Amino acid sequence: MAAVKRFVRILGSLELTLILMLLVSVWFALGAVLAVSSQYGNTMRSLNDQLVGKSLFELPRSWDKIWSSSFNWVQIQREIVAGFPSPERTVRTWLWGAFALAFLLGMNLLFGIRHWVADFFRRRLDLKRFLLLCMHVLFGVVLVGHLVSALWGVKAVGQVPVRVRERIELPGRLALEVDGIEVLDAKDAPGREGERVWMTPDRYVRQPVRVKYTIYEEGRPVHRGEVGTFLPDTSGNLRVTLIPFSFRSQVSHDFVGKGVGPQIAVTRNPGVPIMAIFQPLWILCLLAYLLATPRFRTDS
Amino acid sequence: MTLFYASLGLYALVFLASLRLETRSRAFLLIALPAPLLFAGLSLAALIRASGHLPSHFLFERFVQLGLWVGILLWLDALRGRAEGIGRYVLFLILVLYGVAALFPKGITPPVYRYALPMAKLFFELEAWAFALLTVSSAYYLRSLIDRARQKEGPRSDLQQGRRYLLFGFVLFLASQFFGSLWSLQGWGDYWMWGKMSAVGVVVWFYLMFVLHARYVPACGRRFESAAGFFIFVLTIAYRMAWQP
Repeated sequence: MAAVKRFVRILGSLELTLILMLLVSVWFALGAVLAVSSQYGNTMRSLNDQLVGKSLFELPRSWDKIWSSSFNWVQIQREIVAGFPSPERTVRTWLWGAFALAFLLGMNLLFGIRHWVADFFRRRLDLKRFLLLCMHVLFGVVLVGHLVSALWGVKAVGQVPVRVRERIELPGRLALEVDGIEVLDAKDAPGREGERVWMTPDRYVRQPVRVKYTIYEEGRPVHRGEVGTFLPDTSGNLRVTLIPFSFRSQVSHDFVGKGVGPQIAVTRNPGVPIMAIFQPLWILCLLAYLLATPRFRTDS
Repeated sequence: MTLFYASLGLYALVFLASLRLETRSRAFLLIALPAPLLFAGLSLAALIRASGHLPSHFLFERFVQLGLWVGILLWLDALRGRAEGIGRYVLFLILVLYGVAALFPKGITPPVYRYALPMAKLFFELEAWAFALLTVSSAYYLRSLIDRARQKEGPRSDLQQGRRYLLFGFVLFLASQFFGSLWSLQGWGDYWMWGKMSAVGVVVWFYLMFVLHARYVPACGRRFESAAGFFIFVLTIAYRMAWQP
């Protein structure tokens, strides 16, 4: 029993919080290095092509090391990642590490706020502690939102560039088929939000396009729609997005073999409502805490 | 470019003068700062005129903007009589920002970039103000760190002030990340995209939380807290470097 108590105390301790937060920072800094490295960048970006839960076990595709960011600390990268195993194995190991850290952080949060929760039910909490409890609980909900996004929902992406008659198979006997692609002239889309744009930050010109598509359920058409870049469409719970052309993100695996252009993504993310509601609440709670306690006592 | 180097030179002059005059006259910063602020403002105006929008992706334009915002915060503090002795540290950090900016390509985001999207605007602007607050916070931590290194018991309020700016910066940073995720949802179909930008966002996010929690662990001590707090400044520079296209 004493061992369990000690375990719970360690699991809920602030020292563990600090260690985990620093570890998460370091781990994601390593992730950023992987993302910009010529060896692992493509594989890292392939995480965007399917649910994270699936990527833990298998990545969709892997590409040769072709691309390198213009801002890469080449030497540092080489030294850091030189001894790493294959890109797929490295990225999946990194992802498992991120998951493990998030899980430990969640546990630490749960056990760390147990006294505040108990005090809350005993009605012993003052405003400051109440706000502290709220912000920690809301942070926990945000973590859960990320978990839900990672494990449930739909994420399917098509080819690059989008092609007419391209078919994207979706779960639940659904499929999306591209009916037509229309390249617009700038003056054809005057004043529409976002349509005045013709160039990516890396200065590659792109023309606005419209992609017409049909969603089929068991072979029967159930929805026809049109998407443009930054003009997504929805069908039921599914969100159809035309991912804008970005030379840097696509040149790696698509330019050489397939050419560059926009790509269609079909998503259903049950975590979005959780994030859309609870993340602003968390921020507001932090702000309330900040405004309610104008002077922080150093020794508190 | 002339305007940029003029503001850099003026900030440097004010910094050098502050080493002698800041503690002697409370009105020093109030009187001396408007000149570099004016030139920094003109540099930013020139960049906005050339690109058609506020800075977004490029480190150079972002740091010119950041230098101006930090300078404004310092001037407002001087106006309220709360900048005593901290001016030189803030000015030093502005000079570091400008020095880093001078090393990078003097690019601006193209005039036709999709900046019109409200979510993108909110993301970039909230982030700029968050980093300005975090820079001022780092200046307080730096002063605390230097005082401790000199075996001098500096004002205890340094850590409090640093923490207060840090919390405000953290709130704005989180808000910016939130609007960034909505921008991502609108354009890429999901609020989270794996890549260098999201990864460095998490690094900053958790590091800020690390510093905020560090003070409650007695083993860390004040020197550690000061050093960790100052490192935020280094991290914000690294964050922006990662965004450089």
